[in-house]
Amino acid sequence: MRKLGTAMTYIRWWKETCILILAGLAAAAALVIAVDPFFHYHAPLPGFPYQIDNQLSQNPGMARHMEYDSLMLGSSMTVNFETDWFLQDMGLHMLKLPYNGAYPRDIRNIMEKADENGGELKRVFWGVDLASYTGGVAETKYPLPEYLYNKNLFDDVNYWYNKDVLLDYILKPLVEWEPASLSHVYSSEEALEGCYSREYVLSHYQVPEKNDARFPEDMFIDGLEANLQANILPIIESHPDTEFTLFFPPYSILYWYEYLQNNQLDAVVYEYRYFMEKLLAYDNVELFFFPGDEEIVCDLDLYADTGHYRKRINRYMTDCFSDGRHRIAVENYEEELQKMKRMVEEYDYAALFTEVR
Amino acid sequence: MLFNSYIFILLFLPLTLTGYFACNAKGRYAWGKLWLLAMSLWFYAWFNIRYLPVITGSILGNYLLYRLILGERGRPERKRRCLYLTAAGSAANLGVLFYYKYFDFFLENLNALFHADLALQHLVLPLGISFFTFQQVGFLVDTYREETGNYSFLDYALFVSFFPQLIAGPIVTYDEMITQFQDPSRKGFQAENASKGIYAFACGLAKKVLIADVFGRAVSWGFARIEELSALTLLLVIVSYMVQLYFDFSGYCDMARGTGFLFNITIPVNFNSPYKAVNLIDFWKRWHITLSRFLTKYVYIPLGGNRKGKRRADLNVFMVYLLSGIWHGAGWTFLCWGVLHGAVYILTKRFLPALEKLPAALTWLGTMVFFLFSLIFFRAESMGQALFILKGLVSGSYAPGSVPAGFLEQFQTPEFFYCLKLLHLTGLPQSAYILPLAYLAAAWLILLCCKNVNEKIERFRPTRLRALGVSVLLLWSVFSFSEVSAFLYFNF
Repeated sequence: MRKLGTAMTYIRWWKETCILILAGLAAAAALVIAVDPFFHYHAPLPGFPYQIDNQLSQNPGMARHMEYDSLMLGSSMTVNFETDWFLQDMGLHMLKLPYNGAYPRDIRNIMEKADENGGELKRVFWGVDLASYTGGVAETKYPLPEYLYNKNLFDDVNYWYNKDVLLDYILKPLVEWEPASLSHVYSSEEALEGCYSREYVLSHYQVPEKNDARFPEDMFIDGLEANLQANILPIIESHPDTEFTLFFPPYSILYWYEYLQNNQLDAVVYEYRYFMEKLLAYDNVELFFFPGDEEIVCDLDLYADTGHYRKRINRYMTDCFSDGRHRIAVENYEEELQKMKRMVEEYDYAALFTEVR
Repeated sequence: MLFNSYIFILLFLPLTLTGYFACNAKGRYAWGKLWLLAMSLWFYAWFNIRYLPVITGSILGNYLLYRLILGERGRPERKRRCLYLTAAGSAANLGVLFYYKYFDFFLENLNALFHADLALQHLVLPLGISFFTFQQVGFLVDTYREETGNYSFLDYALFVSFFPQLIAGPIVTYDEMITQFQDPSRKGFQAENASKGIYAFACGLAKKVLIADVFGRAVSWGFARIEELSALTLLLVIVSYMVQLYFDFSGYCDMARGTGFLFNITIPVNFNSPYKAVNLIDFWKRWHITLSRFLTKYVYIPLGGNRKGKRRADLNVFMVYLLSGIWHGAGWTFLCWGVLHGAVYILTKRFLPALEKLPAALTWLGTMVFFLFSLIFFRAESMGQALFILKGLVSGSYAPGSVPAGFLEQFQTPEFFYCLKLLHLTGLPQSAYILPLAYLAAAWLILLCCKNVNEKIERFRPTRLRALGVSVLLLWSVFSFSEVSAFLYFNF
């Protein structure tokens, strides 16, 4: 065989170089398509230790190609649900597809991907963060890798020829061999361990100043209504045979204090009421309301910041979905809202903030 | 379209090459040129189709002026008319450049000076406008000087828009380009040129994607939080910028030259290892060579060059650098950069005999420190920011521990990070410093100890090792175009 350093003719060199480049491109594309770490083309290969840690890139493929009969949608408030709980308690084969900070458009996008799956969708659990539901109807929280969301085959080159895909999602999982548990993916509790305490939360909390400005009660309604019409209600209406369980997560009392200090508590309650009234009109929707649960909301040891709670709260909410606790209906939603409002208004913040000072 | 994009490498370039040589193989050279022109305009329009009329209008307008001057020239009684046409054409070209590039800067200063409130235009600068404006002004002036020949519209349009040099130079001249477009011996595919071309392209692409972009990330990170940085970090950010700027621009020029070679067209050398320069005069013979060539021919010499005494020559040099500064960008920082270079160039010229007696290492170091210092103005977003950086460099902390983890993380490219992991180096106490230091050391080693790509092309030998090297560099660069967005972990 010719030595690597020996000169050859230019035409032969040109041909060999082109062949090497084309072979490299073909091999990379073939490898990515075969393993498909973002599930863009097919379901997971049996036995491959997939790493699942990227919501923006992996959720659409999972929605399209995995097997499931129910979904968990929402923001980081939903990442700590274990889908195994739903199998044990309700016999549901759930897939978790959260987007941190999800806007309504994010939910609509992923539901559209789920529709391409073709399987029966019995139930959708949907964590509703109304604070994120009043922006532009076409806005997503983060820019999406469009090549994983559209049907344009040409821009899939972004996926095939991508060293992050090759190294982080094909080579690394093969070396580390720690296959993702679908029940557990995206969970944040381990990363935040050590942050769940009253001391930690208060030490990172900036006590808000009282705002003198006054705001109209319906200040959030235009944005919310636009999102209801464009992104939320069409999902409910286009899936009449799917049962939607929408739930309002329990943020901590500190989260509510910011609205109180900003004179927007009435507007938020108004927003919740508006949303509830709209959704309760649908037969395939049930609502669960956790923000009024004083035992959770006022116990800062359960939180890592003003909003994010421990996994045990997710477990508790799952139990409630089974037994109906915290479920609200036309008869009691106003009572629940007023209960929450009273709790926020009457809480002894001064005693709490002596610790901050 | 960028050279470092999937569409350029996987579609545009193969398609353009195939179409060009297919036309030429059938003896249809005009069709070949037309194909090249059409593809060049597509290349340009890919960035923003709204600017296609700007470049096509500019080409058509200038060609019309050229024909008018050509029709008048050679007749002494029409000399003045030719001069007016040339002056009007140059003014129109510079007027368009001024409108797009400097108008807002001009308004801002008027507003500041007269406490006025004139509305800014916020125009998006058509890419490459500084390059194609200069090329065409030079062409008109040379036509007036009766140096140009009789060129077809196709040859002229291709000289201005030939895609390898369209966006960021080099600033080519008609005589070096049009003669090549017309040369029948360059019409067929030539494996030697193509081999050298792909070699230069792969090296340039790697310089841009694998080196400049990594340093660029660190620079962007630093400039996004400049107020928080220690003196040592500020210094590292500016040194990183010095590396980024060279690898970015010279990488682009290598890709341009390489692409030109693929079409049997030799594009002039624009960089010749400038960071090996031992004084500023030497530096400017090596850095952005075609800009210096242009400014010398069309500004320095018409102003009198060195024919009117030392003081006038100094003034002329100063004018050239002032113009160079403002050519690079609309802002006082660029002007200041030009003034600095002009002043130090004049001083270097004055004291050159004495400087040459000093050890070369010392004058090299002085040149690099000066260039580094001048880059603060070149990169800063405002004079205030430049002065803030200077102040920070003088009064801040140089403690090694003051470099933030965020800066060091910008160098943690996945391929090298996994190498460190394999070598079990990631657990060491100072492991975060390994990759940044390795990148800096490797970059400066390449800058100072290696032959540059142009020199390598001259000695190119088609070996299998080189074929392997080119393939690896090209594939590695292509695989680095796209990133998977970092996992946004905990953002409610």
